[in-house]
Amino acid sequence: MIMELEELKTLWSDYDKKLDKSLQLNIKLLRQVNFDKVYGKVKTLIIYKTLEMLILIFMLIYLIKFAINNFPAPGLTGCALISAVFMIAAVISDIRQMAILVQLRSDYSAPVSALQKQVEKLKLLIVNYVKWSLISIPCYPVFLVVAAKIFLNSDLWSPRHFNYLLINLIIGIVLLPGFTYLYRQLNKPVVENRWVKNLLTGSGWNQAASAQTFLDEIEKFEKGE
Amino acid sequence: MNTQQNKEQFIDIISRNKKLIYKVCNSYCRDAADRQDLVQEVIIRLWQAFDKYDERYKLSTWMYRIALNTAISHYRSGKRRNEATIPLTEHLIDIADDNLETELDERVKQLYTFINQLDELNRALMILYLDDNSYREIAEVLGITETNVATRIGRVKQNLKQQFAKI
Repeated sequence: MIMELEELKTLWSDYDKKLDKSLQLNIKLLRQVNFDKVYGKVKTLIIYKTLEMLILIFMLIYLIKFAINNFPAPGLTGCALISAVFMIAAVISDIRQMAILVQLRSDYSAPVSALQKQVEKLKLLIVNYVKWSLISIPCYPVFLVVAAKIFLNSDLWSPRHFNYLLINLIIGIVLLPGFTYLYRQLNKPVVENRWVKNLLTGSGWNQAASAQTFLDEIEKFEKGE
Repeated sequence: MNTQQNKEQFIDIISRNKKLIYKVCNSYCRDAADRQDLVQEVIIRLWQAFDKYDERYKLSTWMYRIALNTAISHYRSGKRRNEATIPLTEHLIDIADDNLETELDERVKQLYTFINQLDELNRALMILYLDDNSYREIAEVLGITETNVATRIGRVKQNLKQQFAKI
């Protein structure tokens, strides 16, 4: 049996007529429900990201002030500045995410290919954020030095605490190859190692791979390939 | 801000275009409970965008874009229960005659099977084409060129012939 597209159109039209008769809209319910109160995922993410950005900016200002105040001590200033670099990267990522979120919030009536592209780009940005967090884990001794000074007024660079700092620096260096390997795996479209695959599933690798595939499909769709 | 008068106007628009919403949702969700969530989510999205609707553009273009964007995102998230919905005991859009689905011509069922085999974007193209939209309107909704629409429809035709030839 061969069915032509025009024949399908006729079938669809018949179905349309049947729906005309049987499809009902619950107007009473539609009047009762207050849809203004519904917080969509986008609005929730905007609120969350705004809060996150405010906290990060506050921390960034505090770190810069900390670096200036401890300028004579290069160890403390250096650690504060390295921490500030991570904060700046996080703020930049947040700004880029916010720009897409605001766009999605204000115009869900954009053409399908354009809007879907934005949605997938947002997913990729969120996963990249996770990737940057992975990089920062082996650098934890840097944050430790700053935190110890701020909360305990203790200088880990002083001879009294230097052994403690050294142990943490060694742990950080030991962790580095492992996290670099994981970071590289997150960039690959296909992860072959089952153990690594299971580990990365929770960190957004699946969403990133799926988002990238769909982005490629949209590009091809737009080009008519 | 949305007023009561706006809401009445909105309900009128939804009432006149309920088939559009239902057909889009039905093409991306075959599960009845999931479809009801999607219908509700589409209506919420339409309501939230209603204030910004620009009357220079065709209402159906605006509705198709929002309905398709919501349906594709919902489909891709793969979730049954959506966060952007509120628990409702009754359905917003429903088929009064429960026998409609069972009464459907075997070939209409095949048509749905065929639509469901298409990827998210080609499915949107097919819905728009079957709903008798012009190539220009399809291009406007999807954000691609008219030539591209024509090429893709041609490919779908070929694909369709191959699909049904196997049956």
